[in-house]
Amino acid sequence: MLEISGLVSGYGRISILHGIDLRVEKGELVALVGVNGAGKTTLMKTIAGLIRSTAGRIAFEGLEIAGEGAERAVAAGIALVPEGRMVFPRMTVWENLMLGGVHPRARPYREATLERIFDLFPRLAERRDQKAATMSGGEQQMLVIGRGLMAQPKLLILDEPSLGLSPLLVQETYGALRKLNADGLTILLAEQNVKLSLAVSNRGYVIENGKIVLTGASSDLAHDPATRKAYLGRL
Amino acid sequence: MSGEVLLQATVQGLQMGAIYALIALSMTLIFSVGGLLNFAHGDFMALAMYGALALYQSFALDAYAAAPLLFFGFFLLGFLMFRRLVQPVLAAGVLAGAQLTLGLVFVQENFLLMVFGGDYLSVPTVLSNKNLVIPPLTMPWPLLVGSLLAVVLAAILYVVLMRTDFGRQVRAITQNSDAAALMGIRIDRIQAIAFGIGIGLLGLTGAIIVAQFTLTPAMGLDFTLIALIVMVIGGLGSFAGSMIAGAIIGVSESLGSLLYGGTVGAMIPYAILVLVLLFRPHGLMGEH
Repeated sequence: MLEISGLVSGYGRISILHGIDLRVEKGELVALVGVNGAGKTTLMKTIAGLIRSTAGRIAFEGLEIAGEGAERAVAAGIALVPEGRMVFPRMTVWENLMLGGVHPRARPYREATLERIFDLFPRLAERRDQKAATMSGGEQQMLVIGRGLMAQPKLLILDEPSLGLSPLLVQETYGALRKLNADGLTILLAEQNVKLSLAVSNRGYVIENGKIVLTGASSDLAHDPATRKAYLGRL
Repeated sequence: MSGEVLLQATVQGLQMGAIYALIALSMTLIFSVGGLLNFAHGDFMALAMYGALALYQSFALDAYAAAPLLFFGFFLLGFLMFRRLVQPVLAAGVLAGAQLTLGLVFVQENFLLMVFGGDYLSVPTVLSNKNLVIPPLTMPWPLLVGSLLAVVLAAILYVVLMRTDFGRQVRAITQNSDAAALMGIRIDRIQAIAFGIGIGLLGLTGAIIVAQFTLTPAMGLDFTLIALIVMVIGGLGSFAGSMIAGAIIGVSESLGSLLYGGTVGAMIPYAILVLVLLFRPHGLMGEH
């Protein structure tokens, strides 16, 4: 579904990613793990079209989308749930969700998708008319996941969804992701929380200094001495 | 001084206030899309008033009938101006944008001076020099109609911004443009349309109040300053705030002129601005 090869990207003249190869098949839940500053967010933003790549390819369902901008990515069926949540603070939960599905590709299905999201996160239904800025971090995280789903994505990309959440809320968020994946949604997940993300995913990639250094089945990665030494040992 | 005169001045002030509020709202709309403070705001309205004059002189078209025409003409002007002029300049920074609009002040004023000359002009309309008398009030029809239309237009603008997908997209860009891009919103296009609506509203406003004013090429600056004051007093981006601030400024200006003469009356809005900023730096209804 998603095929990235030799991707080089960064900010201005400074490259952060130095030739990334990564693949996500339909129906998979793939984890991208690495420490802070390894290039996870840059990679996510480049796939979503917020950052223009300087070399390499991003093919989505055979369509080349590298350097085409965020609108094209959404049109192709990619939704990014960004790091740091980025809600529209002075708008209500409902307005935030409506904006998630404002693209012509998603607009006809908004009402039906909204029902599904309220089923998945009943808390959002309760807070429907509340301003996003006044909600807790956990609720905002649910909101941005819901907002991403409103775009009717074929591939949902999440950047650090567990960041700043209590263990209980992390469990809840990951439960929702597992459920979405079981229902057929393809998910690419970037996380610092290696243990958790490798536990829920099929396959994983380890990114270090803008390069993929390890890849394989998540269960293998979780037991790989190199991963354990570099990441799990610290947990 | 009789109560009737005070009442008369208060009503007139409220009517002017509604018009001020509408001008301030279009200024807010333009400010919200790219952070551009449009110092040529009043000049666009002056341009529209002269446009109404030209349409009257050439085609005997009444200003009220010309209003929709001026709206679309100015919408197009604003849309193209954003694409060709404002957007490239704003890329160099907000300060460059402010300099651009300052430059437009001189371009427009001198253009009007060249084409229409510096004399005082007026545009005859179906409502000119007619009054509605409801004792003890005597209200000029042009001001009454202009203010009522201003309230209606402000209400329409409110509904468009708060209740439609287009309005939500405009607000999304203002609140977090990166997140808006992630929604697949075409930021450039929405901004250009919003800018077009802002300038289009000035075309419309100019047409519906032209019967109330005497035209001179330099008249725009006063409106720009009043709009800035109303926008700031009301609290940036607050509709209710702008309406209230418009009323406060309109009434205080009108009563001030009546009680203390025109010179002092014209100073009052600035005095109120200073006072409001001292005690409520974010304006009456502004969000922090």
